[in-house]
Amino acid sequence: MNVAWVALVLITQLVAGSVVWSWLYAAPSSGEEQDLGPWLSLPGALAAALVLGPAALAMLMLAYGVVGIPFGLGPVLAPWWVAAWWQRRRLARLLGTAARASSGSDRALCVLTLVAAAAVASISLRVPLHTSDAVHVYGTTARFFETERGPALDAMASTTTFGWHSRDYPPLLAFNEALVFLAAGDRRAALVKPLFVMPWAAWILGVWAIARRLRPRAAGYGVTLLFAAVPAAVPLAESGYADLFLVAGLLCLANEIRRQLSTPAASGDAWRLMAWAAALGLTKDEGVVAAVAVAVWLTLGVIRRTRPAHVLWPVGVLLLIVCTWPLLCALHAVGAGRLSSSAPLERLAALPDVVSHLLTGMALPVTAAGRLPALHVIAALVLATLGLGRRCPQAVGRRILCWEALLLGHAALYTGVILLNHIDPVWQVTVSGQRLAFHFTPWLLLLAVDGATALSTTAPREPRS
Amino acid sequence: MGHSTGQDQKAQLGTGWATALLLLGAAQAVLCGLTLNGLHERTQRLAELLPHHTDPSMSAQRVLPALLEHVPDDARVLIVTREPHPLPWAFHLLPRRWRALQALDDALLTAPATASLHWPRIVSDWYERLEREDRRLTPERFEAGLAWADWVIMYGDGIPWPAETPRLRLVATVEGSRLVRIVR
Repeated sequence: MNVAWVALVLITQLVAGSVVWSWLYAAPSSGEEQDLGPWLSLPGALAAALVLGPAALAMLMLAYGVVGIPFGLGPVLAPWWVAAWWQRRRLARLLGTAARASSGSDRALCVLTLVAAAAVASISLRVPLHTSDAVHVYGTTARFFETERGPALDAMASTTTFGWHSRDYPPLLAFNEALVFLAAGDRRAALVKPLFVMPWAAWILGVWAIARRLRPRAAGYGVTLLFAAVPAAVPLAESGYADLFLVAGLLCLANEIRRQLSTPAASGDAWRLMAWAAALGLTKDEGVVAAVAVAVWLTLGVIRRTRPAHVLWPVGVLLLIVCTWPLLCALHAVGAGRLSSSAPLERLAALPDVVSHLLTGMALPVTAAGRLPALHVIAALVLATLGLGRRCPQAVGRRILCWEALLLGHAALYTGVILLNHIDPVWQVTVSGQRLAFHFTPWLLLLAVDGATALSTTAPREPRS
Repeated sequence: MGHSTGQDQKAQLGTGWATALLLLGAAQAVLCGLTLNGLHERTQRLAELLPHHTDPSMSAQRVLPALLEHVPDDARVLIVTREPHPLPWAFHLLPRRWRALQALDDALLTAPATASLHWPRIVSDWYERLEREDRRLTPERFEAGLAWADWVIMYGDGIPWPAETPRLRLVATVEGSRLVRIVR
């Protein structure tokens, strides 16, 4: 019976994500047609649902925590099924459009991803959860949420922490783990494992959703690379599931920004950015930085020169969602509780080591196969694509620059968070090891896809106007 | 002209397929290392969790669920351990009330840095914190813990029992770790 309840939780994640996706992207009743870009394909829709679903459940649990409604499967899951029933026509219309807009390879990828995810999940079920961040960082907090049927701030504040338990960490993953624990009962350590596979699926589908529209054939090669790593995903999906969820969210956010920059302004654009940024802001420290950056960007009206008055509500709601958990922790004196190991100056002195480890992790597939110097591989790819970008049409060149900026920005963000963390940065980046590949592989793949586009494009560079 | 265009298309298609195969081959070769690493890691972790495996660094987490099957949810549990790593006790023990006392080896402070040059700093921080929060094992704290608890979980040998020990009943032993019921 526990298995059925856990399956219901996981399916509800998808249902909730689909409902939010339809709220954000269904054509308004006025009949105004919008270019929904990559979201209007089955892989794009599935990636969106896999990111928005856990975020939607977490936001509902956060709201329950604030007003004092106890956590339970009924109160958390039922509203999304009711909403799906209420929105069934709009949802069916949008899904139908997405199915019609999807190619055979889109459908094949969805099936392949689901089959691979099911295979990884069934293999991982054999070993109960026993270590990694899923226990230390999120799982322990989730156990407090489960046993206290609420945010359990006072209980966490009064309990001495052991080891790496981060009590004030953004709560999205802990809320979702708690939900699975409530469903799984005593079998929680085993039945929680399929939860970790879903961000991995979102990560692959997110890469595809972007790359497919850029260059279908090259995208196929890129995603083949990701699928070739399925056996490696079995342990890594668990140890790095927070990283996978974060990067899947970042891919969706980048996708949405790119869509908004390449299509005419539409009503609801600010709310769409708000939704992706809110999901990120509840996931990890890096996501909080991304969410604040989106809030600043929206406020400044950079996107489409929107007047600040139009983004006031979305920015307000975004800040409310992202700030609620830190404020609750501060009010209840819930500190980090983590081990600290080095002074700020020591951490700064570790910068070269951190960057060096980061570069090694970034090129992990290459270094693992041939032990080539990672720095050379990254530098060659960046310089080659930069050179190609100068010789191809402006649109492709701009995209190449965009991916390189995202790659460097992501690396800077990761470095900053690691240096500011309480834990020794070199030790942390060493332990992160293979998980670093999750962070940077998507941008490198997109760079390679557009590099292939630039190579095959013979058109001269458009003259500047 | 049409014939020529058809041949060109066929040639392009052939080149496309050749490139695809080449790239797939390269992809497999490049990811071979990562895949093997993943399989190796997986095998290792499976082995660590098998019941007959005796890796002490994994033992504490491996045996805890089996020991806790005997302990009711409303029990008070005292954990006494020599395990040097910080472990997620709350994850396994909640909703039970629990205290943990940790015996630490001073030799760890001078051990060669394996994971990081900062390892000695991490250990000394850990020691200070245990001391500050009354969690480092001493005979007095052990005695006070026994007076409070209903159950005791002991990891590791050579931990001396205090002079004033209540009546104890050994309930289970898994991989050398013992679950003891305090009889009052």
